[in-house]
Amino acid sequence: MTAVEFQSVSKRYSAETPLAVANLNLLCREGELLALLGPSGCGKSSTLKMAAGLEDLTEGEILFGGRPVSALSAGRRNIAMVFEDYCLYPNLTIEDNIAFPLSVRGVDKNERRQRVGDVLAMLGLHDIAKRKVTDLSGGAQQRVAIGRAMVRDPDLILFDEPLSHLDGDQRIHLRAEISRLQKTRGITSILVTHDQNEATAMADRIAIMKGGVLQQVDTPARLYARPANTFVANFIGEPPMNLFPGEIGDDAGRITIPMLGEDIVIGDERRHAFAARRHSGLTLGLRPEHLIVEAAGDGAERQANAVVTYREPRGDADSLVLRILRDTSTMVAELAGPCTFRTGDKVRLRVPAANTNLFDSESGVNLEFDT
Amino acid sequence: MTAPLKSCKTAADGLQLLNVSKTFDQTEVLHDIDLTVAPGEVLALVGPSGAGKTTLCRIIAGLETPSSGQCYMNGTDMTAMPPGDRRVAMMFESYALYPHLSVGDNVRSPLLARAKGGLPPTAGQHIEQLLAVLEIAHLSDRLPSELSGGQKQRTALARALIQNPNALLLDEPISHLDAKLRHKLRGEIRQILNARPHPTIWSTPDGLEGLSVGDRIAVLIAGRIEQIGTPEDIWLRPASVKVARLFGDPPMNILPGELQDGQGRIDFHCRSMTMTLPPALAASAKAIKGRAAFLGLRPNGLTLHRGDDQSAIATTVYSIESFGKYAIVTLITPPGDLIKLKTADVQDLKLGDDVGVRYASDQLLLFDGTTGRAAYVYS
Repeated sequence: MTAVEFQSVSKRYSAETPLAVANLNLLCREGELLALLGPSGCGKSSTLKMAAGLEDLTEGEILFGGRPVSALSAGRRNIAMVFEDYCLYPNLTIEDNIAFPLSVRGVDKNERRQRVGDVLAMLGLHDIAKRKVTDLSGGAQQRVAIGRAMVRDPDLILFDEPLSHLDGDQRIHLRAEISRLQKTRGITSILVTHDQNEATAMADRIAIMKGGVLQQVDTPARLYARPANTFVANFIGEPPMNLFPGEIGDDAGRITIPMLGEDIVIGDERRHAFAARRHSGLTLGLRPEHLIVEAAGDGAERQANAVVTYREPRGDADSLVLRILRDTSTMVAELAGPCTFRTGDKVRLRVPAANTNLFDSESGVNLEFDT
Repeated sequence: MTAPLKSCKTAADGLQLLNVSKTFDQTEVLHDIDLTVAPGEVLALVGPSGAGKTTLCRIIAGLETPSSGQCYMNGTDMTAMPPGDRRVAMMFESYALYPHLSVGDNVRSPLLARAKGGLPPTAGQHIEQLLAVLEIAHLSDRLPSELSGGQKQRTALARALIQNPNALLLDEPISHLDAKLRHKLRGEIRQILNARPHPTIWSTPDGLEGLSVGDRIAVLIAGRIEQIGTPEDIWLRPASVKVARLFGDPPMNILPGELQDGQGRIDFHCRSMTMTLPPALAASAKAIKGRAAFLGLRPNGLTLHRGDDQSAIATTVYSIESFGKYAIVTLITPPGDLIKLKTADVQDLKLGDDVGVRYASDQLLLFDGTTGRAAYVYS
């Protein structure tokens, strides 16, 4: 098992274009599956290609297990790649495809049989090992490709959009399978994807990139609960986090949300944490499933502060788009489905203080985030 | 060839298909389709690839002739009407953009084709607004060859949405967009359609997209309508195992087994467990003729338990996928059935841990093991 470290890595393709990757410092720990995630042009693919040795570094160094590799060609780095279109040998059987990397390296027959047998067992493909790979579904072909990558115990496996050619149910199935196989073998892996669902499902940690700059690297749970900035808050989670203005009250533990006509109290401990930092103004962040939606009316008792403008059922959850009465901005709530609210219903929205994130309005930085 | 009508009653308004079948080279791709879409309604047509969704849309547009059956528009039989006279707008999954026209001109083209003496003064503004909603306003002057797949798809979508047709057919309109944009646009397109008077068919292989956008959903599998209903109907009461497998992320767990009569009770027995059916399910089990049955377990109706628990299904943790908001845990039973469970909290769960699975009895469904049809007792 090998840790992979990017040290101050930059990549520039030409003098006229901005840096594709800017001063990247990132550690993929031993045995970890690290996902690189971001919108197109964020630098994730360039980063993967530099790790693979398919692109040169403009600056910096990449270390495999502490050894610099930037001078080594792709073939000498002991890595394996899994591509979106499988890249299997169509005229070979499942078994021969998996055995191929061992055959070309001259591994002796007994050891080859042993190692291929282990991988076939792990994939559950023993009974059909003699079949041509072209007889298999896309999902099963990709499992063979993963088996071929794992059979020679590389230092690192690079997964490049491994699920993007697959249909819905095969994708859901293989997502779980990749995560299981990677854990079982414990091979250090880097996954590139544009799909946050895939990244969160498979990865131990995720590095979020934007415009060549690393934004945050963390576990899926931490990214979701404590995004480093409003870009990550908006990028991770579906529907995205609600972001809305707040005003710090006289008593600094109290925050007023003018558009809802609500005050929340965040408590002394959190007040001290963010009061110590300079900030231009406060933006609150709240996940849609944490927004509390109550039936309400025109009267003084539980007076409505929003109206449901759209309901989107999604089976076990419904999302509601809500128009705030005071300023016609919108918020999104997610409730267990099927819920009883309908378009046109007047509601009272409440914000639970404990689930809020506090961002600087100008920079978007999370005021309670410690790197 | 004309098939006899099942009934002569046709809907006065909207779109209606009666007994529509289509055969290509002796292969039946659509079988006896009956469907109505009311004015202003969005019908989501959900089915896996190859189910016949595109063929159905092409028949409504007049690009294919049904082998038997009729299509009606507002009560008028249009089965033999040429496509140009139907005023049906169709967005093709293959986009079919004019390669020599810019994005803006592609979107403008259907309006020009119908306008006599120039476009109305508001047309330009409508096009701009629509391109802005679809996030392609900045690409208005580009040619299709300069666009990504997703941008082409949104151009084709804008060209369909700009029209004021008798019926609108959207064939997998957002399938090639990345997930983030897909989630955002499906709601926005749906809200544009809310203000429209015409019937719309929105086809998709994605069950959750169908639940999100359809007033009703028609599930098409292998050329046959398996079920038509509201999103709640389809989600809570899927008509068959095939329907249940199309909806949910992850979809419902389906275990094949058999029914066994005990003393004053009915048991469901399969290789991974034996369960005494709760009263409501035992009542519906009477609708099953043979002994073979499928038990459906919803991933969000299952809970994990550690330690010895006789009432739980014995399993081992096979994989864990955590999504922040929730996690999906895949469990494997000793005989090798995989069961997926959706939970808010996985805590210190590890691969290989032995755990018990309990089920909420109101989250179970029973299906006939021979036909695959649901066994429900409607009260």
